[in-house]
Amino acid sequence: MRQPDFKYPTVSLQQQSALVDSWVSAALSLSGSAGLVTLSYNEALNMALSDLSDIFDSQGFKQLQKAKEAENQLLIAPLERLNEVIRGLNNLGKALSHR
Amino acid sequence: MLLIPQVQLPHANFDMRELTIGDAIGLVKLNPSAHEHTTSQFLSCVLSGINSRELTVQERYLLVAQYISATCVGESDFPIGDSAKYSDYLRMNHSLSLEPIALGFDEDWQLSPLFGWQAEALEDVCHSWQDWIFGCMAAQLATLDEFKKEDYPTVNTPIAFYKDWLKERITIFKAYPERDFAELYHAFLIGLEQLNFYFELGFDNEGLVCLHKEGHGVAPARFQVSDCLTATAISFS
Repeated sequence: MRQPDFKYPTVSLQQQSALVDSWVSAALSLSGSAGLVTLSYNEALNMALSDLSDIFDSQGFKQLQKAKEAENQLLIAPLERLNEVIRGLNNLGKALSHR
Repeated sequence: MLLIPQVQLPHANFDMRELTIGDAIGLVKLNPSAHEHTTSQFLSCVLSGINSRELTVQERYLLVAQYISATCVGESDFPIGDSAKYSDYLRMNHSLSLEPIALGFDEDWQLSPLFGWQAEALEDVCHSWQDWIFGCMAAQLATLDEFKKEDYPTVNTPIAFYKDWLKERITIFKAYPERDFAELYHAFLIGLEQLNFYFELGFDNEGLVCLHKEGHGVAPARFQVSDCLTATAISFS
C-alpha cells in the first residue's frame, strides 16, 4: 500500500517549535505595552487564526508598525547622542593620561 | 474570524468555530502521529457542547475535512496530493447508522460503527496495519449476547480497562482456527463496506485512512489536524 499523500507534509517535531514560536511571537507583537495593538497576551491567544493573518496583512497594521519604528527612533536618538558624549569623554581621558 | 458553514447531516447539525492562536499552539505540541487523540482535542476546540469521543470515526473525519475545506485558501474542494481532490474521497451515499448491523453469520455476530473513544484506545494498542485490523475486529465485532451484557464497554469505560479488554479480545481472535478466522474476517470486511458512510476506510501502520473512490491504486488520504494549522503557519513564514 502506498503511503498516505497529503496536501501539506505532516508537522515534524522540529517544525512544531517553529510553529509555536511563530504564533507566540505574533501574539506578543499584538499584546502588552510593547505591542502594536493594546491587547493582553491572553486576549491575543483567543484571537482566531484568520484574524492574525488579516491583521498582519492589513495596511493599518503596516502603518502602525512604521509609526512604532519612528517612535522608537525618537527614543533612541538622545541615547545615541549620550553614547557619543561618553565616547568623547573616554577619548579625552585617554589623551590626558598619555601626557 | 472565518464563519464555518454548518455541517448538516441527516441525524445532526454540527456548528464549528475557527481555531484560536492558543488552540493552535496547544494542538501543534501534541504527538503528530497520535491522529485520533489529536482529532479529539481539535474537535473539542471547534465544537461546543459535543463530546467528539462519542462520534463515529466517519463523522470525526468528515468534520476535520469540512474544517479544512472551509479554512483552506482556494477552492473548498481542496487538493490532496498531486492530482486528487477532497471530493475524490468523499461519499455521501447513505445516512449514517449508529446501530450495529447483523453479519448474518454464526453466533449472531454484529458489527457496530467505530467510535472516537474506541479509535483512541486502538491507537495506543496497535502498531501496524495488521494490529489495526485485529483491533477493529475486537472493538467492532460482538455477538448479540455480548452486546446485551451489562459490562460490555461503552464510552464511559475507563480507558486503561478498555485497552486491556481489547488486548485480551485481540489475543482470542488471533488464536482462532485459520478457517474460522478467514470466514469471520470476510464477513467483517463485507460489514465494514456497509458502515462506510462518508469515507471508505482502510488501514495503514498509523491507523485508519480514507481510500480514493478509484480504489487501491490511488494513494489513501488522512485528514489531519496539522492540515488545519500549517496553512496559516506557512503564510507567516
